[in-house]
Amino acid sequence: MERKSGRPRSRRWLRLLIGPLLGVLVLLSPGLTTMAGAESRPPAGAGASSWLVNMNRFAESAHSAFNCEDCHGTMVEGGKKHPDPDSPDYLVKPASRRFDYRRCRKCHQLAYDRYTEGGHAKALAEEAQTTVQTGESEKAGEVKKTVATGKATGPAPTCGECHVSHYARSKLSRVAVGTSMVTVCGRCHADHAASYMENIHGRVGVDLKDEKSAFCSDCHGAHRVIALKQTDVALTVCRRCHPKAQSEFTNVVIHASVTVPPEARSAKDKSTLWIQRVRIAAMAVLVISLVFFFGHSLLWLLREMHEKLRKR
Amino acid sequence: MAKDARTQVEWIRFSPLDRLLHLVVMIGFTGLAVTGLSLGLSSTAPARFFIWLVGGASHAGWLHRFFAVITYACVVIHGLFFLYYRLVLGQKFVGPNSVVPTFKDLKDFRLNMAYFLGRRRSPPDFDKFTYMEKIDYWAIFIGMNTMGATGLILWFPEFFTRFVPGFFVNIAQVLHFFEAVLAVVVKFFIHIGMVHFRPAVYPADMSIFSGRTSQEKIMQEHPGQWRFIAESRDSAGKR
Repeated sequence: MERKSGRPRSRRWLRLLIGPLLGVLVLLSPGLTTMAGAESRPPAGAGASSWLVNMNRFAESAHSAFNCEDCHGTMVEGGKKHPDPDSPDYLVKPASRRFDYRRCRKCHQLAYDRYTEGGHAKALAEEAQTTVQTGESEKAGEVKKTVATGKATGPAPTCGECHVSHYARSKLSRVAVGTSMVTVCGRCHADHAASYMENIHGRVGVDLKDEKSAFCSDCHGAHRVIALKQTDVALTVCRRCHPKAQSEFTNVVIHASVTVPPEARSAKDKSTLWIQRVRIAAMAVLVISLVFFFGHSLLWLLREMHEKLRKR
Repeated sequence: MAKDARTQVEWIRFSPLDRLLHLVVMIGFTGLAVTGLSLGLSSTAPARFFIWLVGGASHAGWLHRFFAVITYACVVIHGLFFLYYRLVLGQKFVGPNSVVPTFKDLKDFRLNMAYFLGRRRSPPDFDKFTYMEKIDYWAIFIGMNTMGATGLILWFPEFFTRFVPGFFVNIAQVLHFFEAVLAVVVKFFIHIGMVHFRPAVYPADMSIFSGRTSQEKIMQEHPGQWRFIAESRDSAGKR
C-alpha cells in the first residue's frame, strides 16, 4: 500500500481525536461506574439484628429520632437489673429471639397485623409449639427445618429477622429495597433467591435495576407472606402486572432450580425437572455443534495453509 | 493476457434482493445479539453498561423485538422469493444445484475429510453448494425459526399459556438462550473470520454488498457454481 506523498504520516488527526474521546468517556462514566462497575448481585446472607449497636449507623437510620427507652423500656423492669449476668438467658439467645416485637405495633400497626396473617407468623407459632412439646430451649434459635422438603432453613422469622431496626434506612428506592430482599429473604430461602436471580424478574429487577420488575414481596407479600401454592391466589398475584393472564399462566415456573425430593414433588415440580432436562440437552447440542463447526473450519484452514505453503 | 481477461470479467453473484436482505439481516442480527445478550447475561458488566446506555431494560426489550421483526421479515421475504422461484420461474427445488441435502453430500463429506487429513490430493467435485454451505443454510433455517417461535412465546406468554402448559414458557426461554449462543458464536467467529480474515479476501469480502465477483474468484472458490453458470450459458447458447 503506497502513500500518496513522501512526507511522514501526520499524527495531527490522532491528537484531534483525544478531545472527543475524553468527552465520550466523561459522558459514559455514569454508566461505567454505577451500572457496570458496581456489585451486580447482592451477597447472600447478610447479618440480622445483633446485641451491639453501631451508633454512627443508628444516627443515619429511620429510627434515629428515638431514644433507646422508647422501644426497649427502662433498665429496671420487673425488679430485675438489666443486663442481669446471673440470668440463664444472659447473652445466650440472639437479640431477635429476645425482643418483644409487639412493641413495633405502636407505629407499624398495619405491617404487624399483616404479619400475623401470613406464613411467617404461622411458622413462629409452630416453632413455639414444638419447643414447648420437646422442651428444647431456644438456644441460639437454631430450630432446624429440613431442607428436604424445599422449605426454609433457620428459625421462624420475627420482625427482627428481616428488619434491623437500628440500621434500616427510610426513603430507599423500590429497586434498592427489592435488591435487599434477595439478601434478606435469601438467608433462609437460599434456593429461591438463587432461582429468582436466574429468572427474568431477578435479572431485570436486580441486575438491570428496572423498577417495573417483580421483587420477592411483590408476589409473596412483605408481611403477610404466602407461598402461592394455590392457583387462584397465584393468578391474582400474577395479574398485578400481567392483567391478561389466565390460570395456566401461573404454571410458568419462576423458581426453576429449586430441587425437591421425589416424595414431595407436585405437578409443577415435575415440570421443573423437564426444564432442567431440556437445559442439559440444549447444552449438549450446543457443544456438539460448536465442536463440529469449529473443528471443520480448523481442519479446512490447516489444509489450505498446507496447500499454499507447500505449493502442492 | 488471458488471465487479465478472466480477472477483468465481473460476475453478478448476488442479486439486489440478496444484497438488501443480507444488509437488513446483518443489522438486525447484530441488534438482536447485543440487546438479547444484555438481557440474558445481565449479571455481567458490559450487559449492565449497555442497558444503562439505552435507558433501561424495557428499552432494550423494545429494541430486541424491533430487530426481531425486521430480521424475521427477511426470512419471510426469502420464503416468498423461494415460492416465486419455484412456482413462477418454474425452477427446481431439488437436484444438483439446489440447497437440499443429497446422498452425494455424505460422500463429499467423507472425501473432503480425507482431503483435510492429507489422504487425498484434491477436494471432491462439489456441485453449486458444498455440503458445508447446505449445513450452514439449514442450520440458519432451523435456528431462525426456533428463535422466532420461542421468541414469540416469550413475547406473549399470557396468550400462549392459553394453549400450552405454563412450563413451555420456561422451555422456550432455555431454547431461546442456547440457540442464541450458538448462532452468535458461529456468526461472530466463523462467518466474520471467513469474510474478513481469510487471506484471499482480507480486509473484507465486499461481494455481498456489491454483488460482484471476478470470474477468477468464482472459478477458484466456487467451482460448482461456475459449472452451473457455464452450463446455463451453454444451454442458453444452444437454445
